[in-house]
Amino acid sequence: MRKLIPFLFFLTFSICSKAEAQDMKYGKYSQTELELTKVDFEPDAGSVVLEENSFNQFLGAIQHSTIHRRIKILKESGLDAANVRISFYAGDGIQNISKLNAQTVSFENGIEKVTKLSKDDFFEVELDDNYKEVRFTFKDVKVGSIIEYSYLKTDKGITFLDNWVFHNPMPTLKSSYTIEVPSFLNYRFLAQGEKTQKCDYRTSYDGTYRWTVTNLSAIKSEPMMANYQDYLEKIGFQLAGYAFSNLQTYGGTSGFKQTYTSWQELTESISEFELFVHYLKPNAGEKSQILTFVPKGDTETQKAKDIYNHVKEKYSYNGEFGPFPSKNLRAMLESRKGQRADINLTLLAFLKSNGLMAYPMLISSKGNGSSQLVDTPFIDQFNQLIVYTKVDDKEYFLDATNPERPFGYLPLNQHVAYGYIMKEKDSGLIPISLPHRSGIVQMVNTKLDENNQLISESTVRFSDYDALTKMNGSTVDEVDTLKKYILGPSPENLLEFGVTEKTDPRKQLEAKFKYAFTDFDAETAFISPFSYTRWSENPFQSEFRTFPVDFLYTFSDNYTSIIEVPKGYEVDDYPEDANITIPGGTAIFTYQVSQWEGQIKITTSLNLKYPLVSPTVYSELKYFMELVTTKLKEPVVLKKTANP
Amino acid sequence: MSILSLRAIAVSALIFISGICFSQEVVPHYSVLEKEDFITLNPDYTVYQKSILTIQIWDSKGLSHANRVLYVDKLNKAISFEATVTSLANNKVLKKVKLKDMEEVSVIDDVALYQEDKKKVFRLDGVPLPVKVEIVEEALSTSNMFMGVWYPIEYPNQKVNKASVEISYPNELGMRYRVEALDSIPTQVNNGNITILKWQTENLPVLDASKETDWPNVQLAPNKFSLEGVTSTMESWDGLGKFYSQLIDQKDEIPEDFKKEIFEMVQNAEDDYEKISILYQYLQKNYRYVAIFLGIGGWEPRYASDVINTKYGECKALTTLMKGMLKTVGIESQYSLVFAGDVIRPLDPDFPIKNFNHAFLRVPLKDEVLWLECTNNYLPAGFSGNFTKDRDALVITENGGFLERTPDYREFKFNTLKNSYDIQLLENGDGTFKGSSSFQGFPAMDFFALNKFLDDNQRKNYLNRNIGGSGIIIKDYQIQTGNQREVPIATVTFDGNIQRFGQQTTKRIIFPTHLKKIEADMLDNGLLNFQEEITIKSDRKTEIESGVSNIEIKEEHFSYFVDSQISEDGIITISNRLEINIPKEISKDDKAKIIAQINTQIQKNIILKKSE
Repeated sequence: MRKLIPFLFFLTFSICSKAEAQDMKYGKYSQTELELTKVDFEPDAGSVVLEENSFNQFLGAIQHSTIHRRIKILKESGLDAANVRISFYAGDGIQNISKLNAQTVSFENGIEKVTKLSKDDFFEVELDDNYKEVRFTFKDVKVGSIIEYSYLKTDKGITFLDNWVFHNPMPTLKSSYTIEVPSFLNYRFLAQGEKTQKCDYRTSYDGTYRWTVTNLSAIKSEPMMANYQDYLEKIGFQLAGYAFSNLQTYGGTSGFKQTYTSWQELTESISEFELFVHYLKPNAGEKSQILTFVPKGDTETQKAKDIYNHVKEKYSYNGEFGPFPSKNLRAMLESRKGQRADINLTLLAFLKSNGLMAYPMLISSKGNGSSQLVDTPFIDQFNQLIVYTKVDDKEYFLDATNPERPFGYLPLNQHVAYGYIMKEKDSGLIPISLPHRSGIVQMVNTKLDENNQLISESTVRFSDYDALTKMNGSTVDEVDTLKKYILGPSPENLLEFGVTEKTDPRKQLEAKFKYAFTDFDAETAFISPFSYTRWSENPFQSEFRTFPVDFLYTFSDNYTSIIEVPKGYEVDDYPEDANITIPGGTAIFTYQVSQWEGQIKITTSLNLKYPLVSPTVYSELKYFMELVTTKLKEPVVLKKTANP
Repeated sequence: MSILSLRAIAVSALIFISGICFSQEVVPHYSVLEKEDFITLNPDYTVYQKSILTIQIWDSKGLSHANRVLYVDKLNKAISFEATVTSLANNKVLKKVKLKDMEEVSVIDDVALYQEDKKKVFRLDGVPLPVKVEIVEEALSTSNMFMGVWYPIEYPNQKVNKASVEISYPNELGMRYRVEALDSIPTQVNNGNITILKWQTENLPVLDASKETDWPNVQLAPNKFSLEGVTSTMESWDGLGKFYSQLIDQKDEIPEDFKKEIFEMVQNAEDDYEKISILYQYLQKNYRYVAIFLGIGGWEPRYASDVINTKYGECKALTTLMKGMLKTVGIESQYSLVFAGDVIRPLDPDFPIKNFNHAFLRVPLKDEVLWLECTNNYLPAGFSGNFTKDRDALVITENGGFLERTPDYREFKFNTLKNSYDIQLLENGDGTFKGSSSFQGFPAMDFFALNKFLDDNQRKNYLNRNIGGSGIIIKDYQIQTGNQREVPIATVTFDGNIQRFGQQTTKRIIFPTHLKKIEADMLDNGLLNFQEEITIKSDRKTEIESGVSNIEIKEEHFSYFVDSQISEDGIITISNRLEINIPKEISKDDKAKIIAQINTQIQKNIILKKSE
């Protein structure tokens, strides 16, 4: 990403900084800060950010960020806040950290004790890919200590300014971001989060903007919520224009150049990126290498599928991702290994070289921190590159990084509403439609066999994303692994188990298994109608919820169980019918029992209409899930009438 | 990838020896390796290493097999590196990489905030396959203490055509070795004062990453060794202990003004355990675990006085400080070393070797030995938990050292759990409950951490998951932690709601005789004393259709007793007693089977019939 940044020439102007009177001063503490022992809105917090400020200005074409953070340790559990890591991109000297100050302030018997860190206490760690970290730990820290540090971060990459996240892993009382934009630069910004969006960011100084957010809870993940980062309060900036001068031309030229005023302009800029060019337009050598693979099929769809299968099987994914390629097409064709953008752009090159319509598409996957895209050409929103194709008049969204993923399916964290399509014209955001009919169909038949043994035969069919998640990278040859996934580690009295798989036209996994009821001769017999359920226990244990529950995809389950009443027995009792829904109708569960001579039939369905469930109906969802999980375990009761 | 970091992973041949049937699963290989390693121990204790490798890579999954790492720190120097990558398709040289081209990055892990060590890294990428990679590398270590392990096979899914290692050492310094899973006898040549050992292997089996087996290796250990001018012998554990005793010598000296504080802290203590406990709690409360590894390979502890000033340290620093505090009050203790964590690496009494990653403290009292885990900040003194239990530790004495086994905690006092619930069953199938649980030993550990580190919501979540079964919502609770000497104790009182208690049919309510299922993590030590008392009152008129009465089960690894009673006013009481004793030396699979068997056998239901 940083490598994409073009080198810009700027006019330089003198800059007048305006100190903000209301900001904290290093080493000066308010009485409120000294007396604080508990955070009102998060009383269990072990530490709290009392205040943090990022003050940003430009000296020439370099962003100078002065960052000052003050934390109070409230409990022993908060002592880890005294270990600090500051990451920065050091490649080509683009970013640097300097002017580090850090001190601990404690009060012993009312006397202030200040312990400062010296230069030797700051360590620089070299990470991979030209990233570095400054690491340090505060000394003499105890409960009640205030620790604070400040540093200067310089950044030569000013096309996209680093996001400022107002949230912290601990509660934050006040977080401010101030930026002085000089007259030779123009930025557009992207605010995320309710509080950030509501900020009155204008100040009395021309070109100075300030966002202040207060009283933020700590960031904590919750079960079934992979993307809590999408709900962070944060602000980001992208260069919208700059003043320029060129003294080398006769008489010199100067003016103001707007950047990325439209999605199309952004597309053109990205398309000229050196690593990108050949994927979009392979040269003759690359094209002839690509065309050594001849896709099978008579229709566009068949050819596209064959190409997709070729790329996903022959090119291996190195686990890394980003919105832009890390290597060019030639290198990919040779090494056959790369990150997500490399592989998907290779797929694109194959599709286009075979005359099929295909475009790169940038998305913000779940957890990237951009829950809703803004419809302005703001590239920092995106973190993944996939491929859009339209074959035989039907749209598909493709990601060829996983050999187990069939054509037309995307990883679950890529199930997002919109993507940015990069076309020759009409680039922009388009909806991502991923039609599927995920769900589980179960058919159970329980009856006496010829040896008078009560046998239950089940067929469980997983479709679309349920098949993919259940297989979890396993193949049908790995029967034991799949058995474990489906029936748990040690299924009892299992007589037979087999699985089959279907990929076309839909991904389906079908498990057939049979088990026996041992010593079936009781006066009263309790028979569970279903041997498999989506959840064996309620996945929600917590009483409250902060973030939405993300089931990742919608599904529709249908289970049917028919029990043929053995001779000498009669149906004595069975579960009651049920029809349950959560407010808003997002999830519906039905349970019906019908009975006729010699048989009892239980039919249930569970439908999830939207994958995201609001935390406002969490308590209803929890109770709903409790009912569903217990209901599916309820038995049919048979009673002996006479010896058979 | 360091040869030392290779995990032992399994050979994948599946052989059915029936006399008739023989079949072998073919493990795919992504690279073919030929290599020669040379290790030369010099009379000045420096170690020169040279490796010559040829790797043919046919599959992109084998690209990482050409990755190389050379450590660059105070002890290690990379002398030279040259990699030549040649296309196997047309014999053209694609790239050459030298030492100066290698990326230098810091050595980082999950434990240390910072360590001085760096490494130079070569990664192969962006080349057309198939390729041949020829590597020649040279490195020099200033110490022979860390001679490590030679692995002929470096990666799973790698075919090794030839691998050899030649080790030469001066006889006055000596060398020992131990061979594992390698069918090769070394040749030995004596050249004056120098001995040369050589292992040669060919056509080794391709290893499968998904299966566990011993990885072929030759473990090397010096006799005499030196580290930063400190010399000793490793021929005996005593010799190795002597080396460490020199490293820690004087480090535990406590400044005079702090000694006064120490005396004040323990002035009212009645016995040595109480003194230890007071000082241990002081350490837990006032010092943070922060690992910053500076100095000779991070092996030298800091001075206790420095730890006192910064109020933080890693295991060596905190152990040294604790040792110094105990010495101040007249209690002798020994700095000890162990390989801590989930993986236990047994120490061979006859093959002394530096194989430790953690320091802790041994405190011999009159009738017992306590082990103090100085990095833990919530457990009672003398309870060192899972991290170091049941393994050999090297105890460092003033002038040497010896091996001693840490406790395995296979006593019921360390593995007891008692639950008591009063349940009020409501008309609609839901319920309310109140109760209490007491935990002793390992089952209590989580509650110390809960109290210390988690917030109210997280505690409730934990209790909802671990007190009783599904559908429980804890409303109010109290967690109290304490100890009976080294045994941690936790008691929890709670009340709340139960959503959908048991199973309901048109005519019946069915519920289990116990709420807590036995999970594998409750049996880390193989031992458990589990008791559960349940009282159930129902709003709805019911009668018992089927109960349990004085059921007793005695199996090889567990005994179980359950009884239920119903009073005249319809209150049901259920008593469960379960004692589990699974042998220590049992496979994971067999243990899982026993647990499954226990859960099946103790699964009993009480069936109530709803009255009209």
